[in-house]
Amino acid sequence: MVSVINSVDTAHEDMIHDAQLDYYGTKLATCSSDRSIKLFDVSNGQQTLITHLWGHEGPVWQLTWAHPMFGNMLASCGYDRKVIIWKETNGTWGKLYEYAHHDSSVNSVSFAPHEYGLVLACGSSDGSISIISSTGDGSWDTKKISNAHTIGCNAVSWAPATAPNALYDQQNGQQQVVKRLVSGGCDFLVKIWIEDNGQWIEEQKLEGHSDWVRDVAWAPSIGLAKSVIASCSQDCRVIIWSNDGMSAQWDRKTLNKFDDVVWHVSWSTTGNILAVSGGDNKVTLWKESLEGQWVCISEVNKGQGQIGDRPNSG
Amino acid sequence: MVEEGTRSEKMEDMYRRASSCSGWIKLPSTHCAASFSYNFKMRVKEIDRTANVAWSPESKYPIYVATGTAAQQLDATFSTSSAIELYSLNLDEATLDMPVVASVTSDFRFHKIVWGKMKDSESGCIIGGSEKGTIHIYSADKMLAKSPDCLVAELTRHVGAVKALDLNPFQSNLLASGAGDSEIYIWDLLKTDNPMTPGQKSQPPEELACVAWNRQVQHILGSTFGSRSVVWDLRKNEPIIKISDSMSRIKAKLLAWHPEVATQLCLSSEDDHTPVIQVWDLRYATSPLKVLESHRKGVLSMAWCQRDPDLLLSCGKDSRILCWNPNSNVPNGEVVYELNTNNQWCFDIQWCPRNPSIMSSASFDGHVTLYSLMGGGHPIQPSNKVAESFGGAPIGTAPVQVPYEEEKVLPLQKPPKWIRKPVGASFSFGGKLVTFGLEKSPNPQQPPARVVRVSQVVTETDLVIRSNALEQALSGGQFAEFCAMKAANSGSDALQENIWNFMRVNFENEPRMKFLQLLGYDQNELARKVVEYTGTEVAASSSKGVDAQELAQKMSLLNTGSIMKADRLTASGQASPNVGSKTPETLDNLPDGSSAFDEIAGSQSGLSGAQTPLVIPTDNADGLMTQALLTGNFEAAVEMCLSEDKMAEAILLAIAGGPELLIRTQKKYFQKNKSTLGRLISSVVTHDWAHIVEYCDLDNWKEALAVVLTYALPEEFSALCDTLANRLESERDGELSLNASLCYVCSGNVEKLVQNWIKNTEDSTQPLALQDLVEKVMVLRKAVELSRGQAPAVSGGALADKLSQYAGLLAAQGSLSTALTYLSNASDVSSLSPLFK
Repeated sequence: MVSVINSVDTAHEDMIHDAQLDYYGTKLATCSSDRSIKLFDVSNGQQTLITHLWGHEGPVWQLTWAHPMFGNMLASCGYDRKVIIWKETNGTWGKLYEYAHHDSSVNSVSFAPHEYGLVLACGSSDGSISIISSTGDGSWDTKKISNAHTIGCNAVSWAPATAPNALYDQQNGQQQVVKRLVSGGCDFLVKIWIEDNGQWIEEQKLEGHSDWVRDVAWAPSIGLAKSVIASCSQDCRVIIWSNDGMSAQWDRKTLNKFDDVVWHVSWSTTGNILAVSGGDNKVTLWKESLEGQWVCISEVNKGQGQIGDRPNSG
Repeated sequence: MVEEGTRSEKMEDMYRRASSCSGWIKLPSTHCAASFSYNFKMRVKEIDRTANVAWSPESKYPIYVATGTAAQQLDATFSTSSAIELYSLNLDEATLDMPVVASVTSDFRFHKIVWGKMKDSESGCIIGGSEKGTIHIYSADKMLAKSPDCLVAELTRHVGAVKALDLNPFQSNLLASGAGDSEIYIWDLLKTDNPMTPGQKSQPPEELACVAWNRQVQHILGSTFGSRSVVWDLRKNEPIIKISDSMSRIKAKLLAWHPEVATQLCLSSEDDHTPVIQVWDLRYATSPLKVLESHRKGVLSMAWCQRDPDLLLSCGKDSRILCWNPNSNVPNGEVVYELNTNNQWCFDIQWCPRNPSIMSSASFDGHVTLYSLMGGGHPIQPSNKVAESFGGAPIGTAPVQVPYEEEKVLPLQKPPKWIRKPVGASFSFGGKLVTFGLEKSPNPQQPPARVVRVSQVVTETDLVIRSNALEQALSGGQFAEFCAMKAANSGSDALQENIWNFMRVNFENEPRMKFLQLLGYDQNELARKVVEYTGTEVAASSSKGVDAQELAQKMSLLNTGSIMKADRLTASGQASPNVGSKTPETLDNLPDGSSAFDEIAGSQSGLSGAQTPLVIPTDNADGLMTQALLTGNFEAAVEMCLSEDKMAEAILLAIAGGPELLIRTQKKYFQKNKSTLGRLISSVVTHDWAHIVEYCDLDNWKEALAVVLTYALPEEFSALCDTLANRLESERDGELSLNASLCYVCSGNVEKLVQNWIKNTEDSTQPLALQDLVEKVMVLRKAVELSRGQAPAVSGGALADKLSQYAGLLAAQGSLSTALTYLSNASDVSSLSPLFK
């Protein structure tokens, strides 16, 4: 059962490009082509505007909330090539840091698992990925993966901090925190990056899409050795990539071919349901059956839907 | 905090700071503050050919670029060889080179090539219009397969060079071609012998410069001649409109239809005196809607982006490549983008149909260059051809590599349509789903509502319903009712029904007696059977009949006498901690053991005394016994009875001889009597319940449990149940393992119940299976709490694991507060940490 518990009229003046709830699900952040970001208090069914943030000079594409251990913090990226980190201090929101070292539109931002500290990955149309880390003393350290995706990176997503890293462990014989992230781009590729001795290197190149990869999402760890990544593309497909944690092999399974471009994929926090949103305004929810088949369990229309094994066989 | 009012000031301030501290950011001289130039790597690939270009169709993957050697261009070698070549768009390789994947030589050079999809062909066909009036059709599949016969057709109707070609976007087998002498042919590529012509030849005869199919209406074709443009309706086979501008006569070279609006088109002028692009709407065909003026010399090529009608590329003899927004109302046209072209004329420019950020340009200096509209190209390596030609010899002290001027370009002020994400659905903690999308406004005058919805996703509806029922029962204290409901709904699963019945009994009076009933030992039933069997009315004299338990209690008292009466009350009265109070009234009514026997003895003696005189034997064995009796030597008398196999006499004498003697006598009796019943009586009389649970045949586990329920002391009860359960789990490969859960329910051992469940449940992570377990666990904990005054603590282990798993499940379904109650003892679950705010 999917039922609307809150409907927020954002009053943005142009298209909305992202909407994210914070860690506790009480604050909603939205961003738009009207160049602004809005924060709403949505606790207990209310929809009170907390603040309206200006700072980008073009459409704001994506938002990501930091873990609350770092305070109330939000990062945004936009067509103006900027990444801005916003922070609430004494009840007032303002810019904490602005990163302007991309040469083209920054399409994706994602805070790393909090175990790594305050770390942010950004993917840009200039083809590169930046990893920005707070040094703790107010300054920020940047690493850049140049030419990550020719003619543009569209999405970045971090592996969970608890993700298995059996490969790495076998080589080193010890348990180490291995940071990984996955990215998708205009070169139709999904790539997995791993930090090795402070340098980010390409670990895997996953080929399967035949058009722009629009979004990638690394599934939250559910305590198993398996790693799972979802990717979606202009080619109307969603692909589920999985790795058993023992080998370097990533299995590819097409979840579905849709009727329109698939723009966004998002895992539930328990990692067993995937929300897919496409250009035909359709949101569908998918779940893997016991037999390993991906089944559409719901079609969500204006925030509402039924849960079933396969509604409308669509 | 940036308030809206102060926004512009802040922005200006920011620019000042940016320009003063960052050397590479330059403030623009003309444009608004938002668009300053910067390092924008646009060049993606380069092919060293002077060639016309055709992209593979949108449906084709991987993407290829076809080049056909350009007619009327000569390079420094004056070579006139010609070829059609295919290049693969290898974006994943960070080089400017593109590999040639196919090459076919041709006798003629080309003015125009197009690549269309074909039915029954994966890659479609490449069609070239040659300088000699022929149209060459190549099979792309065969070219890619390096097959020698890839030229599948050669159409030879035209007179003069074929400069105009276009494939119908709706029917890809329809090719329009145009050449000299005002000739237009419409070919059906499946049947090329009889092309049609759209009506009368236009007069005066002129060379066709361009043909273009309408993007919305499939039978409308546009064409440009030297001095005029004609739109044809192929259904009527006649020209429907001639576009001419009475004000400024332009020499239209090219025509491009609006990708979405059927009546709009652009005309470009090659004339250096009027280097403009006109935007026309055929509904108002007396003058252009607008004129795009920025080129300083004639326009050579033009391409309207099919994925975003706000983008129109043009290139001209002023060596510029401009990108316009032809829909903008800025006077003289809005240039949204200008590409750096190294001061070379481009004669052909095209959008990549499949990858809209990429475009190609062909220039007279012998290059086909692919650009990325959004940047992200490769860093340009300065050419070292000069150095190479000197054979690596030192050519002076200056650095061989001259610093390469990075391309400085204005970015598109408005992002192209294809990167503006219109929809989204993101999960957040607790099964909440945030969705937004494009919504139609009910009133076209009003902007659409920009709504974001937060929804609760409940995938485990049954789980939530059952969880609610459980929480209700727990908070309302309706435990027995809950258990009864569960038992009633357990369907054909007898064991589940049993377990729930056992659970229920925990909340009722006299639970142990009811456990027995549930095991099939009904006291009334037993009484009836005894009567039937013995035919006496003895049992019937008691209103309650002969109770198995009562019977046993009487037996257990045999060895104790009245002095033990206090003990006996506790012994079977309050059998187990979770079982509440026992049947005290029954106990109080019990005659004590010895008096019972006294009665029997009394009645016997009374009877015998009344009827026959007592003869005391004096000789043989009886004599010896007599002596012993007469001398009060019970021990010897009992020994004599035993040796004479007079068991009843031995026991009677032993009673008289005191408890110690009785115990010894019992032991000897049981040593002699090895029958099954004897062993049972032995255990019952000697209180050796452990013997029963440890050694009983497992088929008799119910009987063993019954014995424990009946007799065991509260302090040993749980341990005995657990021992039995253990055996059920471990012996016979766990065949009877499921039944152990009943024992754990009796003993109130929650942790063990959980472990047993995990062992016997195939997928213990299944939500409903987990719900099953949690229901039992929570109810049993309540039962234990009721009888012991406090619930057993959850201290890690399987139970804590399962409870936190359960909490996770509930949280994911949005039942956050309920989830929290299950976490109080298992808090180390980081994924649930939002619960603890």
